[in-house]
Amino acid sequence: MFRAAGLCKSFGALEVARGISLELPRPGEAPLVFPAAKTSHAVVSADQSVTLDGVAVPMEALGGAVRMKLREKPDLLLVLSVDPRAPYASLVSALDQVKLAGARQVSIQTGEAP
Amino acid sequence: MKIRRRARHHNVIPTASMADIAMLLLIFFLSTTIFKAREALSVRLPGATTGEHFQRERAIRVWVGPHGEVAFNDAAVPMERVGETLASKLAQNPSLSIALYADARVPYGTVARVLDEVERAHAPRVTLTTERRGGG
Repeated sequence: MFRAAGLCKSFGALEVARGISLELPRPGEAPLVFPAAKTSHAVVSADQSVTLDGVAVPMEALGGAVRMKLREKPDLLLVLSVDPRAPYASLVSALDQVKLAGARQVSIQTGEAP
Repeated sequence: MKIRRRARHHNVIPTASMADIAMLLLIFFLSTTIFKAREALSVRLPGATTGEHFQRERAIRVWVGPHGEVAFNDAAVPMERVGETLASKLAQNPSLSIALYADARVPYGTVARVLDEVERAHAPRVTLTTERRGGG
């Protein structure tokens, strides 16, 4: 009986899930300062409308718009702000689009969305 | 005249290999079975095409329900005690990761409060669990 249970575990009976991994700031770490020249701001409003550097973009086109920005600035730092009233799904959709576009440096701004 | 007796044929099913077959079937089912983990809250996860895989059993699962209620693998926890509970779980097993199972409809503000609590527990990273959406 015990052997069978052990066999189960060793044969990968553990369930696998998937998700988007976020790195959290370390304790005492200074807040990030973004150099304006290589920073883009994506803002998700409460009604789930999206703007990229002040220009309205449909959520499903955010990835394409970020890709264009990355062509101009390959070391682009993307700052994502989400209104606290917006559904959580909009944060995940925005992160998904940005990751699909190939952005490597993405920061989620905490506090009220501008 | 000598009449030859017909030799009687006994129809038998060979069962000598039955034990081997049963054992092979047992090993097959043992190795392919997946145990469904008990879910603390019923949530509708957001869909995403990107994402990395992780083992559920090696993560502290934090659930955020559609009405903002928070629960761990086994029990409901008030929002203000999430950080403290996480910190004690991480102290017991620092190799565990943290996976957030938040409902897609919950306001981002509630999830941000949970993320603040995760940060307060000094967790280095958190995974936003998603459902696979067609594409990548």
